[in-house]
Amino acid sequence: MNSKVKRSMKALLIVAILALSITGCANASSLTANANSSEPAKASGTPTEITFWYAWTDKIQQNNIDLTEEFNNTVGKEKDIHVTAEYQGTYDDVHQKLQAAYIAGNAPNVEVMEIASMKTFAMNDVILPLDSYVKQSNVDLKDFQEGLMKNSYYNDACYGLPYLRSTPILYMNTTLLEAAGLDPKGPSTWAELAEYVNTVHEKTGKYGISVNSYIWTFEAFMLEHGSSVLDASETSTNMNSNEAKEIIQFFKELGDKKSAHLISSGESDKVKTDIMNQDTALWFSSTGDLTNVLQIAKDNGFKVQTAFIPKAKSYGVPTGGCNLVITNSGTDAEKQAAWEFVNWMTSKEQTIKASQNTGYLPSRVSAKDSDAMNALYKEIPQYKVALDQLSYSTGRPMNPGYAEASKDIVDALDAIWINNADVDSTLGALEKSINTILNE
Amino acid sequence: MIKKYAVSNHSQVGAHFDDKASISFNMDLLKHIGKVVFPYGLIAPSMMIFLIFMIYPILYMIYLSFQKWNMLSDKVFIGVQNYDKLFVDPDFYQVMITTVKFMVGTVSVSVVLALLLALYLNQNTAINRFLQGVIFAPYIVSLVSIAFIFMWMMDSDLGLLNYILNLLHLPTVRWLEDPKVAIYALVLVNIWKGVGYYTIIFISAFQSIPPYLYEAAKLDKSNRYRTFFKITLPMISPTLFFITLTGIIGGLKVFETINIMTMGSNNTNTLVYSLYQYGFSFHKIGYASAIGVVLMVIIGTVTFFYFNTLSKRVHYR
Amino acid sequence: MIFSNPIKMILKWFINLIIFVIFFIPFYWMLLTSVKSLGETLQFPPTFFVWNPHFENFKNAFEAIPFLQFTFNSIVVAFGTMIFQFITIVPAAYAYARYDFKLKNLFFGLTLSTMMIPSQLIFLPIFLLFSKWGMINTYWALILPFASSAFGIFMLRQTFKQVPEELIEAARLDKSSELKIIFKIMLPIAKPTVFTLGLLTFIETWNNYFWPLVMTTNDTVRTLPLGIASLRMVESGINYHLVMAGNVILILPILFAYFFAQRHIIDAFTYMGEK
Repeated sequence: MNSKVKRSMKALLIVAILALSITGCANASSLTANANSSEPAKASGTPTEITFWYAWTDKIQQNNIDLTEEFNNTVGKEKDIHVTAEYQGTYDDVHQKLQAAYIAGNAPNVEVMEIASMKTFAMNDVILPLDSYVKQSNVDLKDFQEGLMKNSYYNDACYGLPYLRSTPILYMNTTLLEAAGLDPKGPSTWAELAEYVNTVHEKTGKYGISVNSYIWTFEAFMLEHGSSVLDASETSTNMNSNEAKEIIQFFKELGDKKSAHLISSGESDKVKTDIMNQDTALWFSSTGDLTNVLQIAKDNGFKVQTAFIPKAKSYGVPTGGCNLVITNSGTDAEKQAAWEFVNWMTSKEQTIKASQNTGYLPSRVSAKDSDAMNALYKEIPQYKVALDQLSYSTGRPMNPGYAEASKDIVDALDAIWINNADVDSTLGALEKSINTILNE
Repeated sequence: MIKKYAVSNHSQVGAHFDDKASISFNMDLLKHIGKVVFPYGLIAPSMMIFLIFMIYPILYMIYLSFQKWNMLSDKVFIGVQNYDKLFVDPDFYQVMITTVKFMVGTVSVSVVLALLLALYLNQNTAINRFLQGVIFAPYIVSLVSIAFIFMWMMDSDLGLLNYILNLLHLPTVRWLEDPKVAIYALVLVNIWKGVGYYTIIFISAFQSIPPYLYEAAKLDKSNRYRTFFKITLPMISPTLFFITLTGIIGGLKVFETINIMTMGSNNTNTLVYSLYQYGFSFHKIGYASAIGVVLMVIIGTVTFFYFNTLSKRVHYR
Repeated sequence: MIFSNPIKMILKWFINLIIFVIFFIPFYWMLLTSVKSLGETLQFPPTFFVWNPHFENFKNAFEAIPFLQFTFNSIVVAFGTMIFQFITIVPAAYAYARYDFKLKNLFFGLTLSTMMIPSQLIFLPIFLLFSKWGMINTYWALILPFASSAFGIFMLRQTFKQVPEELIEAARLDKSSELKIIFKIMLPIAKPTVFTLGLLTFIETWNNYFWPLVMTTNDTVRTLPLGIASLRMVESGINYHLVMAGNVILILPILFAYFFAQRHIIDAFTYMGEK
């Protein structure tokens, strides 16, 4: 008996000591990101503390941390405001957590909101209409690019200002294209796209294109074919239309020939692997990925160009990325402080910085036309593609059921592309289930 | 606290009981009441926890399953509509099938494998003790870590498992992407984590079988298989009972592997995971609660069946 | 035993080797990956040894998440849960073991039935409850739902039952209070069970991922397993070398303890399983 006590105690002690020793290790290492953002501002009075939630890591994270810090050291100091930036994962995570946090009564004051989420939160009064603040600070909403404002309105009130905004674009490993004897300008129609993809595969043995089941790029494919995932009223879907079938078959056939690498939603990171290993010549991604991709290309010794997503019937892409919103929580002083932060973050200067840091679009016309941006476009023309493409852009669906519908769509794409499910029956069932969700 | 409150309450009653009562009588009564109330005081803290965090949530969940609510709007009572929708949803049946596959796959293979391993490692030798230690190790490691390790090993292009299959000139498997395979890949992970625990439990059960039973069998010239089925298995049936029941409930509640390795795609969505998805991703609280109620009914039925049918047939020592 | 036969001997060692490999390789693969560079993780066929280990992966993993905070939180939650369980389990187990009272069977049955209810089933209503109380993102939300354990009560009751009645009677004759009996007689005898239960609770809480996932919305009270999981969240691509480095840090205390106190931990689990 007694020895058993000692043994159990010993085991417990060892666990505890090791756990503590690890804390010690962690103590020694620096926590740069956290330390910077949580250091209180040294202003005269007690500063108004507000929190800011953001998504994504890498360059995007750095951009958010840097800008927040700059705000704290400048305007924040002046106006006694201190912002703490908190990383929350993906856009989906931010969406889920905001809803939970709002119920729990500890929502952040400001957060990035993926544009398709806007309506859900606006109609439930989770986020504030910004019109009075806009008026108060004389912000010219017309200076924001028109295409980027389409998801900002609900019931004619403006709920969010464009922040890290994007369109999907076509990325090309031109080193591979040249090796296959192709024009590095890239394909401009879907017929050319098929030709490019097949040629790359025949000449180099690599994949012509890597495509993952992803709702946002599929929205773009539909728009390029003159259709859209949801109809204009957002009460029914076009996923069972001839256009949708045409697109799905297009990639399916390329996949069957091994010219295209079709990647399931759960494995989307495989696209990045293909890019790094130079196993694919073409891929679709957000312009916000540009800075990262250029870095990867540099590290791995290949060249990257960007282009419009090829045209089938007409050009057309959804915009994407996030707006900044203010939540309906906290005191009036905190809301005012939140506005000061949002206003600063979306101003011309910061818009330029954010765009340079990440590759996201300059969301203001004045920023777009600035010398700084023009110099950048001259030096690295890849940055300009998304901007030019913006004139063909539309918003994203706002139906609160769209998150669930998107999951069904992606599942259907996986089923057909990856697991050879029958196209007609899969899309038939998909249409039925989406229409139910949309009308709930 | 509760105890004190109850005692003082009762002592007042006692004071009114008889005006002429002697002090000693009062003290006795007090003591008596104290004695009666004392055990309730002892169980009160734990009962409070269970009431607030087990019983109340279950009742509240049942209530919510009759509502339409997205956490932000007002609740709307919609009767059994959530259940109506649930029972005509083909996805729901897929989820049920997946859940059963996962549970049955994990429990049955784990138990058989663990029995074999236990028989193999039963002798108390140094190497056996070492191997027992090795196979038990995964059981105390976080399932999150294990999920990541296996997700990496099961990567269809870069993973270790496909590399090994390659070496053996076997066709490679798309472990987590093939909807026919993915759920069994998750089963495999769960078996790998849990089989050591089952084995150890079986070994300890073997060792508590009185040796004279085996000696008797030897005298009867019973062969090994006969001995196993006639003596060993019946003698460890309470352990078997315990292990399969906990295994079934453990199988029903698995979350980590699905959340990390497949996110419910490729036919790996189970009841618990879709409860989580509807609750936390799609914010259909009523619908999610209805799924929860169904799951609860399943657990209740299994448990009831176990205790009322199987337990009677278990050979208790 | 009968291993005079060399073929049997070889077979036996072959099986031993296979068992070892199956259970050891995943851990080795984790350790190996944790010191590979990103490029090496993307190589196929994979390499089985690393000549110049990239220990900076650990530093990068440390810096990617507020590691110190998460570890601290994990410890607070684990020990908090253990302390609360001690407070609620010991008296309850004593009552069920040594007293007869009305509705005892009902209460005990109710207690045991909670063992059948996984936390994954009732997280939604509990989340809403804590939301109403404004306790999301507090240690309470992570500790209180596990502040008692039917399993613990059951195990400790079994132990208490084995204490000879004479010991208690003798103490009562000495006019010892009931509390004194619990602390001076019952607990010393039940020490092995108590510590074993503590160990099991610690491991379970340390490893828990689901509960902190649904009960927290920011980093202040998040625990290590969540931190490790968040290492994968790069906009595209899982950096397995970093995730594995984080994994090593999460697993290490448990595995080290296991290495030193293996037999005792195994005993703890079997001890519980047998009853």
